[in-house]
Amino acid sequence: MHDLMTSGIIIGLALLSLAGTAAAILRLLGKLTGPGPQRLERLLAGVVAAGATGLFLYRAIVVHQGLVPLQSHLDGLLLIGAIFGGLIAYLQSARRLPGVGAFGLPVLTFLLTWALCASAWTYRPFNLDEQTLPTLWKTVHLAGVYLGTLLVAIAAIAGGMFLYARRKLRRRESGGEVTASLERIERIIVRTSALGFGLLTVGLATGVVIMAEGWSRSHLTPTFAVKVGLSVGVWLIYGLLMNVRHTVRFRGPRAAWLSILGLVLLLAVFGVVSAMSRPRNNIENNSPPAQEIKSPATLPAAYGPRGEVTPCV
Amino acid sequence: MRVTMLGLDHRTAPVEVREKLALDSGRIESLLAAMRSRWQVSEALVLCTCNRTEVYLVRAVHRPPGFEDLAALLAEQAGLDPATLRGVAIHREQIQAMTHLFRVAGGLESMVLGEPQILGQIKRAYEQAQQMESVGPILHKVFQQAIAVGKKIRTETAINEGRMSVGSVTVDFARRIFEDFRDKIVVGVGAGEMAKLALRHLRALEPLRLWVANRSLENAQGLCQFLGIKEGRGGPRAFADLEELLVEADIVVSSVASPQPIITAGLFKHLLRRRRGRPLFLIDLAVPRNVEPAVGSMTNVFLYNIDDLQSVVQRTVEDRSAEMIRCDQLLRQAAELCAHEIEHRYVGELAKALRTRLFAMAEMERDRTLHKLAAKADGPTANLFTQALDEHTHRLLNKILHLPLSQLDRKDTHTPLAFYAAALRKLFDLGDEEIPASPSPAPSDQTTQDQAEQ
Repeated sequence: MHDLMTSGIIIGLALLSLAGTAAAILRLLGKLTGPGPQRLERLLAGVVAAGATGLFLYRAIVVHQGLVPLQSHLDGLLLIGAIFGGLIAYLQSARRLPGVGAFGLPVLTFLLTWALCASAWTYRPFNLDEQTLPTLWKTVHLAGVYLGTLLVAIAAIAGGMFLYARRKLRRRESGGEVTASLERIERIIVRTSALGFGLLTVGLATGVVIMAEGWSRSHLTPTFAVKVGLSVGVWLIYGLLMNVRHTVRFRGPRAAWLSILGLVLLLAVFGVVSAMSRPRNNIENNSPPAQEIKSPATLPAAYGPRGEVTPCV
Repeated sequence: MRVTMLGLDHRTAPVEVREKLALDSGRIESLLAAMRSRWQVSEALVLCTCNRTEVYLVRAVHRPPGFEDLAALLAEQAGLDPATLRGVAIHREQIQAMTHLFRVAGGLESMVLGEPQILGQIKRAYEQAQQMESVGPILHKVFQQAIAVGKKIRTETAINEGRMSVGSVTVDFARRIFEDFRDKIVVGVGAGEMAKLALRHLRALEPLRLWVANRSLENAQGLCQFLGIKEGRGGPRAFADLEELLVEADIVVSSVASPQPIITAGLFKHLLRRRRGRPLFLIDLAVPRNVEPAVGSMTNVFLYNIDDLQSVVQRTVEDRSAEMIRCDQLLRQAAELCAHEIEHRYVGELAKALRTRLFAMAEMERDRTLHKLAAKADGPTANLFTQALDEHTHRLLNKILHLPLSQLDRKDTHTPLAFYAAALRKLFDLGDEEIPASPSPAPSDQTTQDQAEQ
């Protein structure tokens, strides 16, 4: 359900992440030097990660009052925001991937801004009704989709880093923060995109099972069909990109561009499906809590007797 | 008390002199013992690294050892001619000595600017001196401040960022392309001096193989021997193998005296497919250039020539010059603060001595006056007299001492404290500075903490 406190905290976290982004970019460009900005960047990433984790738990315990924390797209975004923020903070403190802040923090800010939209304007709970399919299927589906998206996003960030580092090397620039080596970044692109592709495959496969079950119960909506169609399309394109990347011609910069393209396509699916579906409730209409929405009997008539499965929007 | 430094370093003394003054802990101990026995110095410390040997000590203002004495002792210890040592020695007193130490701690006096090892060496020297009980409150203060300043310079300035030689810049760029060098193949084309330097740096990365291709196989063999390439880890190759080497190489250093490019775009385009898209770092150190510039625009090829590398070195020099100004400011502030604190501690001791001296004199005079009054006054009246006289003496002495001591203790003026203090000691016959029988313990456990951090 929507919650003013949730939105307020997300705004604060997004602003902190934005400040971290500014510091990281200035440092990357060599406008800020010394350990101070680096410490600030690390601190902000850590605070955002801790804040997102706290908010995720707060929503599970206080808002949803249940043991299933992942009950809406908002929760999913907070989960990947928390993991992603933690990962950035770890990579920065362990100095495993220099320059990650300037590429990772903007994505974290974007995720939090998206979470704010999902909280304040397009809040939509998942249909976790046991009457349709066991919750396990949906949980696997959601985990596959969100973690897959996270890994695809990391691959795209690494792609951006690769292109930037390569450009600097090509231009013989030595100022600013030195990013990780091209070899390391390329390895990250390969590993995360392969793992992300695997998880997206799991998400898609379980989505097909959910879809088949939906057909059998005849409550599929046009939005649902479009989403599945587009997802399969993206999966095919991403799978194709994964394979051509291994050929000689697709090493280096082309692999980096493909990883970015993969994320763009995935976001396009989210965007299209989001545009096609209507939000359940928003801050203004003071909607009922998620538990009430889960029950078909208490759903508003306008949304049908069961409520559509819209896990990825 | 004065902090005195006498020493030599890689800038002032040749290695033949430095190696004679490379003192181990046993010789350091005997040097410290000699200083104590000869001149009763209250505090002393010896800093000895491969590039420098420096003695820091605290002595009374008008007492030995002076420059000549110390140089003679050091020469004696090292078995050197005192004149030779005097010619290469650096001698600093008080704030200059502290500034010098802070510069050393900050790595500004090191051969490689800003290198961090010196800070650890200073900590070890300080610890060793503590174990030998040869440091007291002044050297505690100075060395703890030096360690703090050394850390501050490394964390707050970019003095140790960037590279100062073409060889190290080459390695830096190589590290920005490759992560692991254990599976990489380095090829040197030509056996010139520049290639030798760059390959020596790359050899330190322990690549899988390092080949040297040269028109003269003998020269290639000589370079391989210089680089210490082991059997199975590379070696000399005929110049005719160049194409094959360009296919398998990850890093190529070219330095061949040739009027025409030896790696042309036509040749390399033909080899690209065989390389299967692997990145290639090409370093062209020759003038005229050995590699056609068009090669650098090919996919996954990173071509750098000598100007590219030298411009990075030049930028580092410029950046470091700017940082040097910041470092100098930090050092000067720290040294002034440290010297000020030490001088005021000295003033405190002087005030105490002066007060004790004057009160002793006053007490003598009071006793004499009371003795005269004792004949004329009975018991209660004598007690009243005694009390009144004591109060009067205290008030009078406090008022007399207040103005000069508060003037000496003012922090906002640049009073030549040592001069006034010496004058006061002379005028009131306070003798020279006291030399503590045993050094006081460290005022804090800063060093222990630093060691733990390390």
